[in-house]
Amino acid sequence: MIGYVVRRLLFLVLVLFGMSLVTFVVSHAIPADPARLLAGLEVTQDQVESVRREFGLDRPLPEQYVRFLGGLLRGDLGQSLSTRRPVRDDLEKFFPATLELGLAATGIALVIGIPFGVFAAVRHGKWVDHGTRMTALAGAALPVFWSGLMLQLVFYRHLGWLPAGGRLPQGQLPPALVTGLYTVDALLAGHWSLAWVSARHLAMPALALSGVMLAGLARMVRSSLLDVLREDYIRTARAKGVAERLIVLRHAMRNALIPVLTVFGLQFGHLLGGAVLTETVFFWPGVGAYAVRAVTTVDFPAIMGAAMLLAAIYVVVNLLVDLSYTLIDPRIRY
Amino acid sequence: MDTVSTGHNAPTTASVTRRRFLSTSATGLGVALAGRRAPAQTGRSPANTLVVGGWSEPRTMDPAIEVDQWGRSILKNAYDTLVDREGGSIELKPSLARKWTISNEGRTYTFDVRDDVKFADGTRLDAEAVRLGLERIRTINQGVAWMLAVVDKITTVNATTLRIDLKERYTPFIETLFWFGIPSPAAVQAHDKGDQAREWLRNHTAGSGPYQLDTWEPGQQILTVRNPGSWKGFASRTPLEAVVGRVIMEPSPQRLMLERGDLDVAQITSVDDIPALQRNSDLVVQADPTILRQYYLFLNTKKGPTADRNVRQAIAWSYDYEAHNQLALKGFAKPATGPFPVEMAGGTIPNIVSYRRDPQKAKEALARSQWPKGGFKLDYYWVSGLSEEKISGELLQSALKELNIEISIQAFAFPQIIQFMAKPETAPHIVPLYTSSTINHPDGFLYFLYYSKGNRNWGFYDNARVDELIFQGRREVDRAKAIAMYQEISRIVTEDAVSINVNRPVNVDYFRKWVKGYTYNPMYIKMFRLREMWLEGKSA
Repeated sequence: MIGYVVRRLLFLVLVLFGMSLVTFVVSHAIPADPARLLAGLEVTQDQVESVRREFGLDRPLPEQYVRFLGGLLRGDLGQSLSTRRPVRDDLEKFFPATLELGLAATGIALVIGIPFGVFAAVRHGKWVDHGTRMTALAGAALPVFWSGLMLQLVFYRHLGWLPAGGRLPQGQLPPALVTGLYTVDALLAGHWSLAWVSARHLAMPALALSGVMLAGLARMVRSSLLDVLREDYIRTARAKGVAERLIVLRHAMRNALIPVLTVFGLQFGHLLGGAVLTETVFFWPGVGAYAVRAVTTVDFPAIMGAAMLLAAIYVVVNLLVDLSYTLIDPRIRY
Repeated sequence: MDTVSTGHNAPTTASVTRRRFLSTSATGLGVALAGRRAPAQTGRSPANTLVVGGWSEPRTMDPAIEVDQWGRSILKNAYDTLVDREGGSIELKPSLARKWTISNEGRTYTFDVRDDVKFADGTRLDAEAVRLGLERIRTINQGVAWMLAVVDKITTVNATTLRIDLKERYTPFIETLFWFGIPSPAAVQAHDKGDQAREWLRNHTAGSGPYQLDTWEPGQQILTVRNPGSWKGFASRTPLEAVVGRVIMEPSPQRLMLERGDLDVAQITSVDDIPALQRNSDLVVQADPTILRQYYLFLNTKKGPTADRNVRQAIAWSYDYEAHNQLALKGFAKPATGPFPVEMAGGTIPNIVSYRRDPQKAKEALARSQWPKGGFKLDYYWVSGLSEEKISGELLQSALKELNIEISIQAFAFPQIIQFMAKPETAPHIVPLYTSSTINHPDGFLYFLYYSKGNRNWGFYDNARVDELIFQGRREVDRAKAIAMYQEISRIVTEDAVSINVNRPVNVDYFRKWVKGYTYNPMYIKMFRLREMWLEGKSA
């Protein structure tokens, strides 16, 4: 097991190196001059060169890349061209917001998606099955920016139950920093009202973001469970008179979960990187919105930093998923 | 004693500001600010806090560097400048300078600097502080520094007298001083790590203006609080105690929040929303007819068919200006009458060609060209996401089809467009451009757009006579003579159809009725002079 983890972590280093190289080459291949963009249209060429020197953009590309790698080893991702803050500081600020949103969306997807899938499989071919599939399809098909706006119209504009967006109300300072997840930090600090306020702000974007994952999970659980329920050992259990509830939850679900976990791992990584629209509609200050801004302003260090972070998260989450197989199926050993 | 860090420099005044603020806003926001460990529940902000929806986020709060609109809006309230504007007037008035004289054939400006101004950190502002502030901008050489390129030497004559010597005469120079906010030298010195305190001033302010930065939560909100010691005072007996700028880049939530009263001012909404917002009796939708901003379509004078003046004229006569304003801006635009806005001195130009849609004249112009029957293809690039630019492309496509000219439309990100525009060979034949001047002077448009080496000369126009007139205009002290030069330039570039001067967008402001004291000033696009504003009847 330890050898496997070490190998996977070494693989992570390789992935990050490859990612850095590809991102660096691709982002620098874009025909754009970030120094000119930063300096402004009116400025003199002398000023443009001054900005270019300040950010090291005057150096040859291989040198810029080597400097980036050197910084990376020291945990320094450079300075963002657009926010003018260290990229690391920005990511530390924005990633917890995305993580909190992703976790909440995942929670919603798990709590609703898995039971949906189970019901659909157990009531295969019945109206529950069709209804669940239709709902899942709708969840996957609706664009987030549309569902987000609809949620805002209903729950904010008309009902007034939830705030329109953001992580906190105007003027409200965040809780003392521990994890960066406001709900968690507020609870850790014992500020129940702030935790409640944070959770209310989290509700709509998390619901909007959960749609695709929820649909995917429900469908995956359904199909996987259907396959398992046709296995011989399930028939044997039924013949022995084991209650259907126990068959499904204790015997079938465990085996059905392995492919579900695989999909879940992929989707969770995808969800963290793909929360851009949700973050934009709900003005959620996450790393997705940060990455988009970086791309539109040709902010090379920020693009690289965000890409590296998301790649690392993707690989680590999938490693954790792989490791979790051993907990579900004792036959699996690494 | 509250130990939360603030945006101010010296602890004494910072805490005074904080205490003063807390004492005047006892609920909601005030309690929230009382300490990070005891945030309060706030659904709505306190009655004397203005909540503004911002559409982007500043890069830095350093007055020497930041040039983006919202950032400048915050900085304009945090820092004072030698000259300023009041109310809706675009004329400059004394501010930190009580008065000034111009001598040495227009090359020396001598300012009588006020002696009753204190920075928010409690230190006194004097001529030396102004000099250091201006020298800091020159040293950093970014942001607004390009406007000081003409300066040769800045000298402190005595505590209240500052002299600026220019390398050469530049008559609009006084206009540029409106942009140079002066920071406290004490604060700069205290936080200078060999970087002119740039790192510290990135997220702090140290000015003498009425509202100083308190807290900046990146990606979320920016809080500024009132500086009660501000020398200009406040228009109301119940001035705004704090201003919260929320980072909301989408128009839809801004509109919803404005309608529900969670925003007092929205800075972006779609023009499609305007009729509905106008019907809302709780809101003020203020459309102001004049604005020192124009929208152009530049024609590449160095490449392909558009290098032929007749082809350019044909395009200018073909374009459907009225349809553009209706389709793109629902009529919230005024026609552009020349290459610089009509509101500027000399903007009403006699004997200038006035292009409007006229297919017959377009055909006649094309008939004079090397391609009398058309039969060629032109590239049009637009900035993805800007719907008005897209509509321009579609209108060109439709209009030029009548002349047998094909238009290829392609969208790119703004940074790419800038790169393409670096040289005529990579630039498209037609490209849209929004331009607003930093100064109330024709030079702010003509120099950048039509001077052969102008940074926004996206037509790659090169006319020795125009270059000569631009520089003569910059040096001309006699206003009437200068205006005559600018009008001659305008006639030449319009006759040459270097650009299609499409329109002047109308500025539309949206705010709750309880927001009082706001006066639109064309030189401050989406920029609020907070000391003149207050809230009346807003419930906490």
